[in-house]
Amino acid sequence: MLFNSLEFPIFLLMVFAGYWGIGPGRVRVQNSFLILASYFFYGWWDWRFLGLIILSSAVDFWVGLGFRANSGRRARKALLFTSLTVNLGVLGFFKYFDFFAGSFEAALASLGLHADLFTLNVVLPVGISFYTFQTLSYSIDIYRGKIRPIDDPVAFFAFVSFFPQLVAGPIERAQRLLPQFQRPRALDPAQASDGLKQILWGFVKKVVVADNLAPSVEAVFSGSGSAGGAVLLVGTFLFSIQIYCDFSGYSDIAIGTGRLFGFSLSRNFAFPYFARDIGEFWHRWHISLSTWFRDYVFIPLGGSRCSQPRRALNVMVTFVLSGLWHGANWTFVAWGFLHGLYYVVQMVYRRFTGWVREGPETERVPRLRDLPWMAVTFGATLLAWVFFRSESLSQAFGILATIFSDPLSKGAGVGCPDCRFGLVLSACVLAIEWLQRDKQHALDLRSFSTALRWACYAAAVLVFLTFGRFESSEFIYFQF
Amino acid sequence: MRPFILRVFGFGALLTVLLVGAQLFYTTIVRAGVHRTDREFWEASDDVSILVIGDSHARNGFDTREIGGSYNLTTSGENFVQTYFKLKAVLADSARGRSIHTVVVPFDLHSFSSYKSHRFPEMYFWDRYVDWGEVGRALGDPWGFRIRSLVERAFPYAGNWRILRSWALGSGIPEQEFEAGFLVERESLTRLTPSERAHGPFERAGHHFAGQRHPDPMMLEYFRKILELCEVTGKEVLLVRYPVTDECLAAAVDSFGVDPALPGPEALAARYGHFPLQEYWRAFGDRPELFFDPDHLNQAGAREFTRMLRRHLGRN
Repeated sequence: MLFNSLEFPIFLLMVFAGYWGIGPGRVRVQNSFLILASYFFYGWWDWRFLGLIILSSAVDFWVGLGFRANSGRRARKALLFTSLTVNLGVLGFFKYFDFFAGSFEAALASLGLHADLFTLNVVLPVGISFYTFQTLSYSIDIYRGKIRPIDDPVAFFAFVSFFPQLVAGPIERAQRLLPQFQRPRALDPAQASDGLKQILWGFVKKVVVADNLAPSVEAVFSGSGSAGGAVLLVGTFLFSIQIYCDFSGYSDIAIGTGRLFGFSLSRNFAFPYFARDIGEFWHRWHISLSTWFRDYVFIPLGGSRCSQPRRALNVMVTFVLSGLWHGANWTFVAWGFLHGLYYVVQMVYRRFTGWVREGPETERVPRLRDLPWMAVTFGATLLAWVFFRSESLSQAFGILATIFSDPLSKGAGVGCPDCRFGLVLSACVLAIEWLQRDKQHALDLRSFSTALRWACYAAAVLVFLTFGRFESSEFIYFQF
Repeated sequence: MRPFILRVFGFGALLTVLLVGAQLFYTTIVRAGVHRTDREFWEASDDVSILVIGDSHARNGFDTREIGGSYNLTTSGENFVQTYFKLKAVLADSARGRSIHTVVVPFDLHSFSSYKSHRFPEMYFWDRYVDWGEVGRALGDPWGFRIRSLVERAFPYAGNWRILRSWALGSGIPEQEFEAGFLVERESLTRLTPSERAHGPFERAGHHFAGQRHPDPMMLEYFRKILELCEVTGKEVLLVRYPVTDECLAAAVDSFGVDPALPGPEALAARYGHFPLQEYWRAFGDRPELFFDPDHLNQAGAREFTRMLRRHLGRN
């Protein structure tokens, strides 16, 4: 089921009424109800893959119980190994089998060797990259002694399958979310009301901005062979806004929906295009994934507590794996590699200049005087988005070559349809988020008078209805 | 809690008033003129003998001033599903059903494309004709269509900002002059500039055929139902292909692999004893002065084309 479908509001209303109708004190019943609702939500897309979520949940719950029963180092390692094998195995099979088979075949062919490896053309289950990482974090955190395993399967299964964040995050940590399933939740009108506003803003970003930009971006990238540098540049810019609004819109809807049920989900985006350097960008973009890779890949590799060359290597490995997580294509690997390179360059720059960014990245509010740094950082991410959006490395390099060799030409192709409208939408969303950059979401208008707040909410509803594209379209991150 | 509930109801009431106002504004002011021809048809005297049905190609292409007793009851974007239900309602009306003896049905390439089979813009208007349950069953989503029609009735402007923009700029639906359903404004008006002629056909063809099934089974089925309805009610049928530019046809055939002969629909029509009028639709291909855009005639083109149809409608 998609958030932006006619079925979702009906589903949400029914689940909301049923959930709170159960009563705030009956935690187990509420959790059971959430499990059923979440499986229904997921099964609406394809019920056959429910088994995978259940398998992943069951394995890690059992692993958790195993950790409780076994304190020996060998046994604990074996349990961790089991969790890693099952979760990464499932992920690897469904997501990467054909990619690696095809790449291996291509590599052999380049050496003059012929191999006819079979590919499976497996359907990628929606959300698999997200919920496997979520269950893995549970097992790993128990192994590290950061959390205790729980013996309540209902709470655990509800934690894994919780429908607002099941298919595209935020990737929640057990330490943060699991206790919320174990304690009573009360309907907080203020929290629910703010949740609705966040949902509304999420829909505006997704349905109004991202979905209206999609045809222009598709036209530019599918005709990139004959497009000029200016068209490609505009198309790439529009894609950067599209993917941000699509993904952050989804996250806003997920977080807002969670709040309707009394849950606090992690913030996933903190206005990343206002970042002043690449390090800050990754503290603001897909925060739940970047912190996951930091905690479970970068730090175990040695993190920053090693020599500079080793640290740079750790950074590159982490970013390349992060790129690969996004999809089974070398373009995503290249995207991750580029970001890793940016990060290493920043590390070296800091080392030699002694420059230190003041304050925690997400807490300091960007100012207008930071504009030059924001522009440079945005430009760097724009370059990387070319790889992310392209179908192949050759297409990406071709686009970049055209952009840099002739940035002002329109080219012979059909151009960028509706680009002016897309640029207006982009400017509007950036302006609104700039004005609200110290808030959790753009419709957090507590400082406004009641009349002005109501006018803004009503305007947002009318904008959503009038400018939205309502042909049901998937969220970009569903493909990951 | 009480102040909160009061605020919720207060905002809810305000929002409801705004949304109802938007709905009324859209249907009675912005889009009032679009369906004027439909309203005038039902209000007019019941002496129509030739009924022209279909989408914008027929809307622009059949000049009712050239053939007495004809009425152009078409809508832009109309598909065979909508045409069938509308025709059914017209022929079920005793007076109009009696007076009509010929129905001019479109037989264009794009009429059978699947891009039309899921597009039902302005469902709030089509509620009066279409059985959404039947359409939903045909598309495997019976309740979806019923719900969609209810939602569209409440929010007809949803997603239609371009129409609102046109209205605001005064290029939408001003008080236009219609002659038996035919818009008489577009004398020699053309948007077919050299640039449009270069890029427009591919865009138009892409809009109709890119990624689509052709012919689409649902469009074929409702085309068949139209022919069957006419047979049962004893109406003569004239299947007409409206002219398009050569570039438009070439884009459809060469870029999207469409078979211009339409063998499937042609065979279906033959079963009911009808043979599409194929003589004229390519006659205008290299005459851009007769086109408003790559695949719609302007008034000059409509006048010339309709005169060609006269002898087939017994109006020499």
